[in-house]
Amino acid sequence: MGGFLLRKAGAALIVVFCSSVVVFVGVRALPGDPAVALSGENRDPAVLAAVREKYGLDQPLPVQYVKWVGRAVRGDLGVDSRDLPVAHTIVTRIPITLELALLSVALGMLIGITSGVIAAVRRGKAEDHAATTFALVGLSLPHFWLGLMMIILFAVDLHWLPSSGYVSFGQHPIQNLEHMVMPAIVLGTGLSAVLMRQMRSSMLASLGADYVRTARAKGLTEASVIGKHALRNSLITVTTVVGLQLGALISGAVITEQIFVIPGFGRLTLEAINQRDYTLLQGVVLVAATGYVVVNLLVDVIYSLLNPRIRVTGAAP
Amino acid sequence: MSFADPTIAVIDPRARRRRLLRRRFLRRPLAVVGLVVSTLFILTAILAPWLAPYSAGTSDFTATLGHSSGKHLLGTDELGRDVLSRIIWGARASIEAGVLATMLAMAIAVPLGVIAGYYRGFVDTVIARMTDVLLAFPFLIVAVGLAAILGPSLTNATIALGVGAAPGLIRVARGEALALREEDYVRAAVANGASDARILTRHVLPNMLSTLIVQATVAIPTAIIGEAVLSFLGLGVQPPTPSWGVMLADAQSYLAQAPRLAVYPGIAIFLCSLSFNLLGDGLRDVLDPRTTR
Amino acid sequence: MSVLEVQDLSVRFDTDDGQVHAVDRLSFSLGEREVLGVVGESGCGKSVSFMSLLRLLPETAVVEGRAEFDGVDLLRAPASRLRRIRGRDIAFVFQEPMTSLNPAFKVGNQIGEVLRRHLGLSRGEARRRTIELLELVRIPAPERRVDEYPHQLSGGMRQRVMIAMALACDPKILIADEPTTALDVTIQAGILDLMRDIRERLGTAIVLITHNLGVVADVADRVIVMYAGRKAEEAPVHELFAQPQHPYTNGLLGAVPRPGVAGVRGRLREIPGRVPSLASLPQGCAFAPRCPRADDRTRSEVPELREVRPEHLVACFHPGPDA
Repeated sequence: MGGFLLRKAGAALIVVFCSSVVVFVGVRALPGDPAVALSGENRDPAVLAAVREKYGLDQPLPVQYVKWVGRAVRGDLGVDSRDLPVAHTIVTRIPITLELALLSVALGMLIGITSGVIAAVRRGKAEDHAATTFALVGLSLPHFWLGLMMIILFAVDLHWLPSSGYVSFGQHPIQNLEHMVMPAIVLGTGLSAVLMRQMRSSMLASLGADYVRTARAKGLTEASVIGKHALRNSLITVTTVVGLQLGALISGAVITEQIFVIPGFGRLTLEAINQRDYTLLQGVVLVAATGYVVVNLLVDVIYSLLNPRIRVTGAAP
Repeated sequence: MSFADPTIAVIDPRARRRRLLRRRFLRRPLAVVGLVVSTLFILTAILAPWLAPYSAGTSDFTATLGHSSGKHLLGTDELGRDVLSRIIWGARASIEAGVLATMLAMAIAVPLGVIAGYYRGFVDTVIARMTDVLLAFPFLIVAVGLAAILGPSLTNATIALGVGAAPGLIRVARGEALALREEDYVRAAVANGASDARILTRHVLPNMLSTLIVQATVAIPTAIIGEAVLSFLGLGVQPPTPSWGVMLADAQSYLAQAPRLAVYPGIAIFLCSLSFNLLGDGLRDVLDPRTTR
Repeated sequence: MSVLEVQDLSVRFDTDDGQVHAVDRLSFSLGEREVLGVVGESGCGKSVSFMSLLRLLPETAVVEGRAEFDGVDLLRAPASRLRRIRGRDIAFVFQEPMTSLNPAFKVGNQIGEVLRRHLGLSRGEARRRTIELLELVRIPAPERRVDEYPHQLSGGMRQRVMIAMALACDPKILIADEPTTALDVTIQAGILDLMRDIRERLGTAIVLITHNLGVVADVADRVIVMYAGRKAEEAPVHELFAQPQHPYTNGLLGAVPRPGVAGVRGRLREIPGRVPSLASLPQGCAFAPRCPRADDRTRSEVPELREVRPEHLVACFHPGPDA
């Protein structure tokens, strides 16, 4: 297991490093003169020159890159166009998106995994058809439209939930959840649809496996056969899928935060792009990529813990 | 089954297989529905000029935010434009983006993936790592970033979506090529001295075809929704050209007064995606004998 | 005293390509402490017959007939009763040791499950008994193996674990489906020794399903020969080998390589043709297309089982050993 994780960690580091290069180059490729944007659209050449010097824009690219990485590693991501430290802005916004993400993942896994198991066990029957249809609908719905529809129904028509905004958990837990319910459902739906299909397929494979036949032949109860023997192996397969879906989750968070006006990390990304705030954008995208890599590494750890073939190296070939 | 007619017994095996697949497909009503509806959407997109009662930009300021009437089946939007017509014209932008973006993604991904998976070694490591890096960026960020770099327009949005979808497809293509190169018939071809090009075109690619077709059919709805998102954010189609995403963006400001303006385009996107997904699922069941249905 | 009585067991599968008759009116009885060998080529319905007794077949299978065990008709017993018989009174050892064990759980856990479920043992007691069982099946260093995963064991050891799992609750019947097929010849001998040992020490009745006549000659008391889902011949083992009646049995014996017999340079006698598809059996005797003794009668009429010698049944119109 150690070897497996070490290799994955190594690969992750390389990916983060390459991502930083891509981010750096990508941001520089955006149209417009960064100096102009950073100086608040002031085109006075003297001011521009001063801005360039302040931000080190006059130096050769590789030098700029090295300086940036050097500072980033120490937690300094520079200051944005309003002279606010980027790192600080990011740090304040991340917990909000994290809460949204956690709620969505919890919801998605709960619904997706249970419905997938039920669909597999009752294959071909009413429950299976219902669950499969549900999943198909969930996959085909544009989630931002779902968000809009929910706003219309629950906020505008019924006035049950607020249509936008955010209240932190510390301040007011109930209101916080009221604001998060719809966004979490919106994001969770897509994830649950993918998980349901994956889980169903996995469970069908497990249920058809020889070891399940053995379990039945041993006289174990159906609950034990399904819940212990089949489920365990299916969960192992599904773990990898969850990791891959996190990228889609972050994409979804960007739009969801936009629609529900939640001041999270996703919204920050859009603001940075729209305002052509390069320093902010660099920092944001780097953090996003690193975060994704780290989370996938965690998923790899969980996977290796669940799968005995990785956890314990075999004695026989 | 009688073999009274000797010619029946000697049918080309590939034709027989195609007939078998067609029969299996037709036995799945949902898949057929998917095929029919997605074709309808494509036809709508192509025949828009003849189908739409009005042109996309015609506004009638005397009838803004109108409900459905004889003149305007789905009502009018905030500028008095006919909603039904805009939805029909919008199909053009969405389907174009969806299909072309997917084709672009395949054109990039298949060669790269196959080369990586088949040749392995240094080339594979480079391509695989690059793909991992690209996959570390959320698809949307990549698409949004590219669209921002290239400037907002439908073409650029399509390119951005295609490039964004490519890394995932590279992984699939690479996986297939990797598995296929271990197949006995490939090894036999190598042992017989067949050239690489011949092996790839005659043995590897045809056997990847079904997986690729399924992936493409499923990638199209993602691209369509992606186009809607980009247009929603103002990075895709520019007004007055309609697209379903733009219509949704405009509708956001009028959610309280005219919620239906958000409903129609959304339903269009939903039905379009659903039909392609159904088609893709049906194709996967029919083409891949290994799936557990 | 028979411990299992099966009458007119038939198993049919409804598939897309039509109905497949896997087993056709099979009847037999199994005595206490008896080792019954069931022989036939792949696809003759031997595994399916016995899996149907414990209702382990997929839902597409239609099973008819009667199987009486301990006063209960296995085929009609309520599921809860069947589950108490499975693993406890009748145990099954499957063919593929590689895939029949759950890769996600330790070996000790999988054996212990049976003990806890049927005998109500505590974890500690189950563990101790598991180690005893592993010793019984002659696995070295059982205290260590208990905590290992299936992928850490060799094929032969996995098969022994399966046998240990089957013997855990001291079953009255052990059904072993091709227990040696997936293993090397040298390991095979060890497993067969084990089977003999089990019968001696524990008094379990054993059903040994195999396509290998050598295995049967080694261990069995009585033999049933199956062909295309039907019983072709049944006899005590020595009787079968000395006086084979059915042409199929004769063919099988002729195909067994025996050094010294028929000269070292003698060619092995094969049975011409192939096993018929169970979806479309020929009209008369199923073996007729390949039988050197076939005539018009055998091609149109299905022969029923008759006792042609003491305790020796055969379903053939022209029984008798080959010249």
